[in-house]
Amino acid sequence: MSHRSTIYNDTAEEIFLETFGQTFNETINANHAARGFENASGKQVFGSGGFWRALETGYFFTGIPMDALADGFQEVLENWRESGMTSFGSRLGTPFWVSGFHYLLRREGRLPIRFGYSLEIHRGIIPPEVVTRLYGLFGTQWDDMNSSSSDYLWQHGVSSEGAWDSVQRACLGPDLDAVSEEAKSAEACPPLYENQQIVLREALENLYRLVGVHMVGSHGGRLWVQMVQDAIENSNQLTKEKVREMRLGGAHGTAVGKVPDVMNLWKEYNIHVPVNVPRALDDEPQTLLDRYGEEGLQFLAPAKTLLDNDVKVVGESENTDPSPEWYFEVLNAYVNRFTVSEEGEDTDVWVPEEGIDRVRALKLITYRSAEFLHAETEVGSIEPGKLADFVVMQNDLLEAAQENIRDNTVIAVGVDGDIKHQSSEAENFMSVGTGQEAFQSLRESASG
Amino acid sequence: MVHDSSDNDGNRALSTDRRTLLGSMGAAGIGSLAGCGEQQDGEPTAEQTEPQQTEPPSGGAGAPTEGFADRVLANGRIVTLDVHDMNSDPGTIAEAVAIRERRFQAIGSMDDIGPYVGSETEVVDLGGKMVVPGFVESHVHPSSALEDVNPDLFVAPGIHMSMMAERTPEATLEKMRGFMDQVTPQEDEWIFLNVNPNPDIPEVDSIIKLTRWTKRNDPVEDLQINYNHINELAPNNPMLASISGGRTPSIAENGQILRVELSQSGEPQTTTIREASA
Repeated sequence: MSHRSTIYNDTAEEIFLETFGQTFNETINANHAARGFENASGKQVFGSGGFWRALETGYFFTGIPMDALADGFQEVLENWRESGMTSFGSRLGTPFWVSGFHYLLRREGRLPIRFGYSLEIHRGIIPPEVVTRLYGLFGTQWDDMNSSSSDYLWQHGVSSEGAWDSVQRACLGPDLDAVSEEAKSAEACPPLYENQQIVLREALENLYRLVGVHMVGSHGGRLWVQMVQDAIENSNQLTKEKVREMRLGGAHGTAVGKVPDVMNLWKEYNIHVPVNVPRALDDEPQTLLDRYGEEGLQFLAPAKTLLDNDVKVVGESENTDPSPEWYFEVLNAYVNRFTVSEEGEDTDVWVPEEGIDRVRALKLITYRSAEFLHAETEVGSIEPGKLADFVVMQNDLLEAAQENIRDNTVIAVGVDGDIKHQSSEAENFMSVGTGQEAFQSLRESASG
Repeated sequence: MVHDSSDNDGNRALSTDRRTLLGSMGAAGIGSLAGCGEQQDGEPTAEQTEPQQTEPPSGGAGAPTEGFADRVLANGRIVTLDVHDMNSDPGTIAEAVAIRERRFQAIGSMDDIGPYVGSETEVVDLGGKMVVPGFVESHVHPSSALEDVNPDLFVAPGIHMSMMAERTPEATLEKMRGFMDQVTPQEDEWIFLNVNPNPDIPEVDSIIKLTRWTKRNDPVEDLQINYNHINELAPNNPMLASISGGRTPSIAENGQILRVELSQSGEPQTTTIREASA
């Protein structure tokens, strides 16, 4: 197995210690321990993900001008909007990003699409006491969340990717035997509170909603709820009712399985379980087969069984290719259980009996995701009083043959009732006039 | 820093009748900021001539505002998903919607929506197309996407180098020394070096051979290229070296050595010290 690694010298270490304090080394040690390199105490960092992001934004890129940062985010959100995305959720890994979005909102008075974020400020090298202070500055406790935001940018919790229960390293624990001990040890399944979970539990005890926290495998999901139970027991503020009201939420769910006691725990605590079927189909099948044999596929994002058991499944796609076709590919993955490769080839169909009907799939990426963002009173369906966010599509999604669901494209997107990204196709149809005359002539031509 | 400027108690009071997470943008912000430029007064004007319509609708049950729509979307198949249970029922499928002050005002048949059309209401023909609620993505990464749209933001000042790995750690170290010989770092200048896999070396894991990582409780000495080597390469300057697909801020291409300095305004200025390999 390859281990990405970066080495730094003594002079660099001095600078990092000066910048981040002793927590820098503590984090490095945790980084090593999480990968089984307890003794690799040489000056090196394994991996290339969140730690680096924190390091870079905390040291190397602090000089990015706020206007340039805001311009960049504006462009990103406009690109995403083209796919029909009008709201999204994300962890923001550093206060730097949080500032960038708030700066953009302040500068423009709006964002191109709506953004519910969770703070992810304990992923990297920020010391716990600073995290606590940052929660105080940036963080919003549950009871204040409903009255503290704009409908373009709001905080809906705190999260951490953590170094456990990852995609392709899902924690199945006692739920499934692997083909070998080595295969089993590939699961990211550390005991509770060996890493950032302690920060998460304490956050929950202090009434910060946990959301976007990795919940990839079945046992990972079980440990997740145990963390919640421990928090309730430790806290004199947190109750089970409060937890249910908060709708705590995981992330990814690509090998989350359908283990009865785990499903019951999720339901009991009203845990919302994102199940990213497109990613699961792309990333997990071979891993599950290699590691567990055929049995492993039973854990592959079983959206239908989870929904049929009333688990609060949430749609997720990470929008890795924000084109006007993207969400139809996503719907196809939920319904028909295959994805399309970068070369445009259909990939294998995996566990087709876990496919769901298109309306449920559509609800997963609209209303249910809005609930996940605690925004369902404002977005997620078309109803009087809700924000006028909508998608116009080329072909009729409800009438299309099931195998043709993905042959569709977004031809216009509305945010706040403003119409964006009209394709040339849409312009032929979306002729615009004003007043009753235009409306009546349209009514006549439509009925005639 | 914490909240946007419109978030204050005055605005909050406007939305107290709606248990909304989001609604506190408030009416003042909505009109001026939301981009519904052609907002019109709620009252019909004296010039209004449409025979069908003399009074603006008062808004149906649950409608937030009274008055004519800013815009109607008409002649479509509008899938509202107003049935929220996670079943196969798409809920009401409507022909038209009225939109006012950023929000859906009414939803229904063409007949239902007609009364919301005032003289300045924009009428949009959906041409029979299907409309659904905007998609809500529960998880996506704006910071990675930002790096894609504007990689220039992520350029750290310093010396940036990149090279292929060689067959052995010794040969690779020699190559690293050769690169270092070509630069004269300034005081405190950062050095970023990426050593990348070498596709010309058939054992593709040339990289792995350089860094035979220790497992739990193995001695550290097993490391083949380690921080001691990096200390030798850069005794007086801070240095980061990625040896096996790790990460540094280096923007150099293979064989290239660049120096990046930030101008007064923060713009990165790049000088090429060594050209990239063909």
